[in-house]
Order: sequence, then structure tokens, then C-alpha cells
Amino acid sequence: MSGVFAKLGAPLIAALLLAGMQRFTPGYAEITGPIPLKGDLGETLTGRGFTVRADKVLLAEKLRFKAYGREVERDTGGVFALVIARLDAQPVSTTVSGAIWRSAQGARFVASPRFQGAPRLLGTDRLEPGLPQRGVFIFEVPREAVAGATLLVAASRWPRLDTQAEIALPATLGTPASLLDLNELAYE
Amino acid sequence: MIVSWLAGLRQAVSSKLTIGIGGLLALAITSGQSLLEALEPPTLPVLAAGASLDAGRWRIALHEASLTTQSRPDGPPAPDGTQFLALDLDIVNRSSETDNTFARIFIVDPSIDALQPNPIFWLMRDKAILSALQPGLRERVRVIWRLAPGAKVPERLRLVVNGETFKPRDNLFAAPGWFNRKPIAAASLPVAAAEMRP
Repeated sequence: MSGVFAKLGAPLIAALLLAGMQRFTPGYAEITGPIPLKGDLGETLTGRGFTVRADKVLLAEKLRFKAYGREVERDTGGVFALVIARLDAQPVSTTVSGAIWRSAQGARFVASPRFQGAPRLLGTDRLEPGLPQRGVFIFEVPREAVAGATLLVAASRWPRLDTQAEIALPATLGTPASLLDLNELAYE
Repeated sequence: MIVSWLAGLRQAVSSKLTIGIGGLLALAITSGQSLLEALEPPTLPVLAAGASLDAGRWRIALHEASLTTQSRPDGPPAPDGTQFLALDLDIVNRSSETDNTFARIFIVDPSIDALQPNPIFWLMRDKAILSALQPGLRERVRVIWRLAPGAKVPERLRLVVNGETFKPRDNLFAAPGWFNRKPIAAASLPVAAAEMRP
């Protein structure tokens, strides 16, 4: 009798175990994914290759800036979300090119590429240790993606086994300004 | 003696039968496959100009195709009289990620020899080259092909729109992604003549 149980039960238990492992163990992408570093607005977060501090979030419907001697105005179907932040390389020179606005619903907005040549854009220039940069990350998001968002900052868009700062942003952010001039923004 | 001969015969017959049946099966399968391939491909649903189509990763609406002498939306006419084919469309990124794979959305089918490959996608909001589509934001885009010099100008532009499906865990990295790109609709747009600029 026990022999029959052993013959039938062992494969059954093994199959159940394997199915459970396949379903519930984290996948490769998750195991080798970003290492989160959680923080709040105004808090200095020290990651593996950089430190970051986000100070202020601004919303605007239009942005104006001077680039290559030309006045440029950008509008959007949603809203521009600006995060004024400070970045510092540590301990070696690096580029922090993975800034993402993650909405409360989970959509990930990469910093807008529509602002080439704008002043004090973070994430584009190389960071040198001991020479912190203060500037702005600019995101273009739908209005419903503003409330309760998280700012993700990492060396690349898809960090693998590397720091990703997760900065919780305010749940409510007021009404967007109709026009902001990036050349006149108070960065300090 | 006779028994072993009989046994040998039986084995030979059964192996020959197995080979024969297997061969016939293989023949039937390959013939069926080539028959299926020879059949007319299923006709794609027609996408009307201006109608919005949900293609999984994107929602698009094709508006109009026209000939133009401008290589970019706000530029002056090309000096050597080169002509361009411009296609206006709306694209919404339905995924949850900023995306720059918009060149995969459609193909020109049948291909037109006069169109030079790798058209440029322009963001009409900026009159600048489109580099990324943010999730959930509708953008008007103009696609501009350069026409080969002296080429016969096409009268209609037939586009096949590709769709992709979302997979929460892919087979290799167990990461979410968009897969199985396949044609889901076709649109045939008349090519309007070049507008006369004063």
C-alpha cells in the first residue's frame, strides 16, 4: 500500500513543488534588477556611484528657454513636471542618465528629450566627484500621472544590480504655471 | 530454422511499414504546409483615413499622404527640386514606458521603389525630429520619405499597420515586454499633389 503511495505521491509532490516554484519565485529580471534606495524630497540619498537630492517639484503648461542662441517654446498635451535636484558623483566620474517619473498607476516616463540645449538640464552632462550639479529634470506627463508620483534616479534607464534612488514626491502639487522660463528659474 | 526466418520476415515487414507510414505522414504534412502557404493570405481589416486603431502597443490614426518639396515640416523647399512624400498621423503610446520604436508601427506594402528607405519621423508640436513618445500622450507626427530623383510618383500609399501584444513575463528574463508583432490592418491613402506655395 505504502509502495503505491510512494510511486504516485512522489511525482505528484514534485510536480506541485516545481509548478509553485515556477509561479512564485522571482524572475531573472527581478533578481538582477535595480537596488532601490528610498527617500523623500529634500533628503540626500547616497547610492553606489552618485548622491542625489531632489528639492522641489514644479508644474508648467509651457516652457521657454534659450538654446543655441534661439528662443524655444515647448508646449504639451499633458503637463511638464520639473524636479529641481542636486547630483554629485561619488567616488568616480559618472553620468546619471536614468531619470524616470513613475506615476502612481505605474507608468514610467523617461526625462523628456525635447529640451536639448536647455540650461542646467540634469542627466546629460558628465558628473565629476566633488563638483555637484544643481539643475532640473524635465518630464512630460499626462495630468492624471502627476499626483503621488515617484522620481527614480539611476545611472541608466535599466539599472542592473545598481542603485536606483526612489524619491517619493508630494501627493498634491497645485495647479501648473501657464509658462515657465528655464533661464530664469531659481535653481539654488 | 523456419521459425527464425519467419521472425526475421516479421521484423523486416514491420520496420518497412513503420518507415513507409512515417514517410507518408511527412509527405502529407509538408504538402499541407505548402498548400497553406499557397493559399491567399487572409485579407486584413481596412483602416479608413482618420479612423483610430488600437494596435496593442500603440493607438494610431492615419490622416493624409501628400507630396511636398520640403524635407522637414517647417523648412524651405529643397533647392534641387527633390520631392518628398509626407504622411500625417496621430500616435498614442499605450504602453507604460516611454518608447522610441515607432518606426515599427507600419510598413509600406507593396513597397514603392521611389521611396528611399528610413523615413524621418517629425514631431509636429516641435517641428523637430521625434525622439520619444511618452505614455498616454497623443502626438501628431509627420513621416517624410525622400523620393528618388526622377522616380515615378506613386498615386496611392498602402500601409500595413503592425500590432504587438503584451507579455507580463517573457521566456528569457521573465521581464514584461511587447512581443508577436504582426500585421493587423491595412490602409490605402491617396497621395495628394504638392501644394502650391505662393
